[in-house]
Amino acid sequence: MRRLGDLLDDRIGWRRLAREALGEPVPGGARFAYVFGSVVVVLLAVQILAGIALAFFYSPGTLSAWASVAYLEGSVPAGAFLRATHRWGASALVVALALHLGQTALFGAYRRPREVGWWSGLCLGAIVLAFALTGYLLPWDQRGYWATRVATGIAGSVPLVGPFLRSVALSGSGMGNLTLTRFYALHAVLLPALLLACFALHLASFRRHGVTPPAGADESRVGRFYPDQLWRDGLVALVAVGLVFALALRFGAPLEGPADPAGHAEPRPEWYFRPLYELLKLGGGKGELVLALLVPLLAVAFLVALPILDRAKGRAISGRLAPLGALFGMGAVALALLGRSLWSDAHDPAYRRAEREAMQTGRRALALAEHGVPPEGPLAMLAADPVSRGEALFARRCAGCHAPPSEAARKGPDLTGYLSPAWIAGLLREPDDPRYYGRTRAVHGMDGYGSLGDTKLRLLAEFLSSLGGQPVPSAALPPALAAGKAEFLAAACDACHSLEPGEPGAGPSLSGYGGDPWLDGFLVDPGGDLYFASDNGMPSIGAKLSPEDRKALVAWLRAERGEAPSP
Amino acid sequence: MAADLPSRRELFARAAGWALGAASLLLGLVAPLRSVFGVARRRTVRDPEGYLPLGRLSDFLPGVPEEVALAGESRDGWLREGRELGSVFVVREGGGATVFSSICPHLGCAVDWDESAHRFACPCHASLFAPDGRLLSGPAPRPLDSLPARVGPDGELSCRYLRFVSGLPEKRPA
Repeated sequence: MRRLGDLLDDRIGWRRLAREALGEPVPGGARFAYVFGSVVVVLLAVQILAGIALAFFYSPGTLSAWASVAYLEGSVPAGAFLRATHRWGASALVVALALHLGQTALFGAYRRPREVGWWSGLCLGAIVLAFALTGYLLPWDQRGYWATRVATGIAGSVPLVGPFLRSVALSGSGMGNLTLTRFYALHAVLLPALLLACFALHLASFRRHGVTPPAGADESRVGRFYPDQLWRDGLVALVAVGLVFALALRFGAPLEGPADPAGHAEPRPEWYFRPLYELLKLGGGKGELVLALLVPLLAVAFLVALPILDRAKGRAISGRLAPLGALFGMGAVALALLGRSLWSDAHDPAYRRAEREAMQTGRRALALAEHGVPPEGPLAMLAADPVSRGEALFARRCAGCHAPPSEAARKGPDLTGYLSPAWIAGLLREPDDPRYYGRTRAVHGMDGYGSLGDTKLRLLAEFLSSLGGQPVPSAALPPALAAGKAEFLAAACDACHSLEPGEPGAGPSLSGYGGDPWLDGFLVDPGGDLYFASDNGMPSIGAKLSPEDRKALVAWLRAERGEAPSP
Repeated sequence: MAADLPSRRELFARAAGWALGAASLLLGLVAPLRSVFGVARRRTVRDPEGYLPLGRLSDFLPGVPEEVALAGESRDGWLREGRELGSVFVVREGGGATVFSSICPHLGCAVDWDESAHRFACPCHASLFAPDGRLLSGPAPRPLDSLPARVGPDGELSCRYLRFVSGLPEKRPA
């Protein structure tokens, strides 16, 4: 073994390289304060390894990007963990970079002669943020698609060069295939190359000038990088990577439904861009350019100019209160904006509902993708799925009146649990309750039947709920349903609601009530003789839908039956 | 010390070395830069040119904006496909209708119709628009973008699908 070492040393001189790398003197002794640079390096290595593995599976393109990521999530061994590691690794990297920057500033390591180290470090930070921005789009899900539309929209609103910048970023006039190939090339080829170049510059400056001990440290005491500093670096790096793995295993990486240009989304950037996002919201109107562009630009200019602005004689913190105060003040403002943004989203019911629905669509799309995505792409897959299609149609056509963001705006019955025995029982008890037909003109002619008592109402409701299934001759009805039918006749419901096919009455026909043909006919002509006739207040939704869309909407409405209405 | 100065011949050789090296690198950059930046000036995503059907005008409720998804055959880079292009809001009024693109003129999010407040709201940066597209509040620089629409002799409403540059006070086609 030793001879092999000697032979290699003779050919490539590795012992001298190793001595130089590991024997680096650490004036003032090793410290935990110095670990952040190494932690950044280790986290970057983890990102690069995970990124390479991800590239083995990823396929850029509007039809294949989401599908390939869904395949990674659902079918590749440890694929979901791999993606989650890359996602949480990015967050950890931003935190480690911020700590590294804070420590460097506090110890005065940006000062002469280490300016190049400071500036190349800032470049590294900017490159890491560019990685985050380009990587967000790659899954081509709703979240990434709409957030990137906003981000490139901001770039486009820069005076003079904005439109050019935007079209270079998007690769032409709109977001599509060429945007994805562009972002992928940036994320996986160009940015890594720039990162390595910047890192080389950063390392060269660091190796030339070494660590910067805090003012007042005993610099006559000199430690060695190996082993004094190395074990400290290694320990903290291990904790950081362990934390990334734990977060990845616990929370995974979200994947929303495939990007839909005709859909709706409430896009939010990753948490480290939230301060900028919040500035944009605070801006409003004319102040926007100032807040969203000028403020960050000034902050960056300040960071770049810090080595020049700091004219103190020594590294003592007491002599550098002004620049340090400005720097850490900026950090505090950024954190406050981040907190404000998260808080306002957490307390916005409309946003939380939209987020819940987005995750629901994502889960449904992933479940469908388990069977393979058709060549027409994931959007076609979702469109062909009656549940997703029905849900989207309901959201677009029906939710405005039946499930608006605020309860006060509801104009029709609450359809949660629609046609389930519980929903029907509630309707029978109090038809004019605001949850049922209290907000419509229709059914005001109908009395409440709460006086029948819970048992009879339940029998009646179960009988009515069964009418949408296969027609059953009276003689063959199970005893419970037969009892329900007896209640129906006893309460003289049939005086207004016929059970005979095609026979109109004072109220809607209950022949095949809630079944597919009944619902389909209702959607096409709610004001027809068999339905609400002149009492009707609902527009004809079905007339504007294709037969397939009507089928999907009916299937979705019928699926509601499985759930009980919320109290 | 005249002996230390390079000869004229050597000076020329040095200058030529640097110049030729730089020129070869620049030549190597022509094709990559030309393609990467050149494509940015193209219409890489192309929507269909003609009028797209929205449904019968009489099926829309007067004064209540209704969202309709527009589908058509479009080009996206190398791909030609029939797909949903985006969505529009139809506001029926009198004998005709106004059709708005659902794309927020601020930064390109999709606006929602808020029935309870009777206005359009952008979920991203909280711009609000009146049912006639007027900007009520928020950072958007202009009203909602209306699209060319027409009603055929059979009562069918149709519109052209156009995109406009976001973030500008004027409506400039993208």
